Amino acid sequence: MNSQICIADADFLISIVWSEDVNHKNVLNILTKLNTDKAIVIHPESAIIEAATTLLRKYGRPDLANDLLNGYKSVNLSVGGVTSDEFINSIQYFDPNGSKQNTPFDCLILSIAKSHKAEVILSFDGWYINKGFQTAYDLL
Amino acid sequence: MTYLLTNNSDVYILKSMQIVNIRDLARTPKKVVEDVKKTKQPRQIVSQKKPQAVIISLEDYDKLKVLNDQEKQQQSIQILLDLAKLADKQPKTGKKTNALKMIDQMWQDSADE
Repeated sequence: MNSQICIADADFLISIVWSEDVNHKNVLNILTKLNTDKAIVIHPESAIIEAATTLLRKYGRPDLANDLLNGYKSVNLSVGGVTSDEFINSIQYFDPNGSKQNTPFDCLILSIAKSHKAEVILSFDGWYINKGFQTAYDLL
Repeated sequence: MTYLLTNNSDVYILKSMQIVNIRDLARTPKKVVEDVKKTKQPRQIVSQKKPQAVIISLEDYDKLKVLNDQEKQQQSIQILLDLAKLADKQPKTGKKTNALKMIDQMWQDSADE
């Protein structure tokens, strides 16, 4: 049986480390389910960096940014590096006339998800649903 | 010699390992590799009476790689669960936030600066 492949996005990572996030309990339940199902979760470098930067600048919590970054370092996890093809392919998804809320970071996540033939993007951003992916909502 | 490698419920038995001296490997490398391919049994390479390396079949290597990848994946989810549990112990501000909105606001703030 093939394991379900999921791509983690920045908002999902923040919801993990920030206990007062509206989705904190949801992500805990999702992670527990993914752990039981032995799902494959890919952690793109761009999502980790965007999450850590937001924790630092918007939440004013460099300690949580540090916890997140060191979480990856501590067990020498294989973090999903962005390939040249994934970056180049992401450009086609960027709409300069579209919503300002969907940034090149989101386009990169989309491209990485397509490249890994992932079914789920671990995010609460509805934009990914329109692009044909299941999101964190589908795992609740 | 029998090796047992476990990954949760998965158990993989690496077959009995034959020992090959490094001089024999240098003398007949093709034969050693062919033996590994044919028998699917690993060979332990020994030099100065100490084990130095192991030659295994591609099939065995692939199995080990899958096990290693699965192990790392399981660790990656577990580390996130650990981070979430750590977050629960942080002092509360009493104010709920939405990560998606916070990310949007961060980029907006950056644009305003």
